[in-house]
Amino acid sequence: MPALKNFSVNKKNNSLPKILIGAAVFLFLVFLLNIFVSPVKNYIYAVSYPIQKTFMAAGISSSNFLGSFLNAGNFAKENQDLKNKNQMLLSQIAALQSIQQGNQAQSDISATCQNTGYKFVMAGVTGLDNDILSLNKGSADGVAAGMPVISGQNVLYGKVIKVYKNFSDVMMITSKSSNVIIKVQNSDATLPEVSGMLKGKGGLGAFLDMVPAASAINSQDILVTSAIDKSFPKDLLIGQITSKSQNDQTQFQRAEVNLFLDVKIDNLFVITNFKNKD
Amino acid sequence: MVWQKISIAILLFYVAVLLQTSFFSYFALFGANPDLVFIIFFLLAFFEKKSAYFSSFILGLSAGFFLDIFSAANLGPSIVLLGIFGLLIKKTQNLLQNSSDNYPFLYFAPLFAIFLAAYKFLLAFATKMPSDMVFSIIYDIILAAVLFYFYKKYFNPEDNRQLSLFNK
Repeated sequence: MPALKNFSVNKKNNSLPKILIGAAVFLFLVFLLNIFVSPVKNYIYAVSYPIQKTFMAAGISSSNFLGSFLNAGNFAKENQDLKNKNQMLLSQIAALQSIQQGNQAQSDISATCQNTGYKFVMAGVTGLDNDILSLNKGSADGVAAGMPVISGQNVLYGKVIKVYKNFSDVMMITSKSSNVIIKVQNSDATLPEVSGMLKGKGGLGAFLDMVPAASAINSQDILVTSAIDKSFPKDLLIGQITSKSQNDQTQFQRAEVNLFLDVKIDNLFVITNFKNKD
Repeated sequence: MVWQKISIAILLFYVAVLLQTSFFSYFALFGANPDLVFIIFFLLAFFEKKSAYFSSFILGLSAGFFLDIFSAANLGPSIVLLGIFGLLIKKTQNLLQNSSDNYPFLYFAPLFAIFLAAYKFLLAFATKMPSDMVFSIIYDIILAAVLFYFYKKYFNPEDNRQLSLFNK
């Protein structure tokens, strides 16, 4: 540390070797800390959990209040939009009846997980930062790296990337490092299955990519996980296409996706025995 | 006195990281969340005496420690980066021309933006977890500007030339 005290642009000194030795010792200490990082993190998370939970509850209620306050000016427009939508929906009731079978598939997803014999561990959300969720369940509860994380409605959130004794970190599907192979759920069973790649873009957003140009995708189409992706069980809900774009110079089309995941959720489920099924 | 100040700063970093990973997660602007710990670290290091390399370095280590603890990455990247940044902030300030106001916003804003961009870029490189930069930096600069004037008004009143100009 004396080397640091002498570190000044105004003084000529010969402290470079001391600084280098100090830096090497410092880096070695940081490296050593990593050996004990798991219990240290687990302990700090355990101590911080009640405070974080309180801050999270405050954050959710404040953002809800702020959101309703900011949207107050849009109520008239929203009301008109809802009237238009209502009329449109009334006219579509007949058509919807014919695709009732397609809607049924969505509600069957719950049963799918149960039928496949997946075991779940319910975990509370303790924090969120840069598309990484923290959960209050860890290796002591049977959670391991790579396990998928879903909501009670079978909406995919991501997969566990780090596990401590009582806590774990989940990389959300919105992370820039996340790629999930999906399929487009089509109500018309006669159409060929369309697959693509859901890529996280950070900031709790994601987009659909790698969809062959010849494939038919439309806004409002539902995206679910594909059986091709071995990281996740198939048919978990992901989101809905909002708009698509196609670049003539590439053989793929892209689409914006409105994800079903809600970061204001309290509890999620970790599928603990999925990896064993591969 | 220095250690008392650093102890308070450590407590402040702890509260800030808890707020950053919980409360502020729900105040995303175009998907960007404020980097509260970095902002507080930069403010404290910026307003340290220009010769206070050691305390700036310790501030960087403390802030980096909490950022690493509450991230999914290994312990180290933020500790090393912010420790080095603590020294670099002081060195840069020493290289800048002196004026009657020792800590002008004119120096603070661009320095903050450069250091934040460098931090985000190097952290993404080290952890292989890229994050959104542009909106994040804009969001952080706005928040840092508010905290800058707040700090200057209430914690650094003897060096307040810029605020006096605004008040006239």
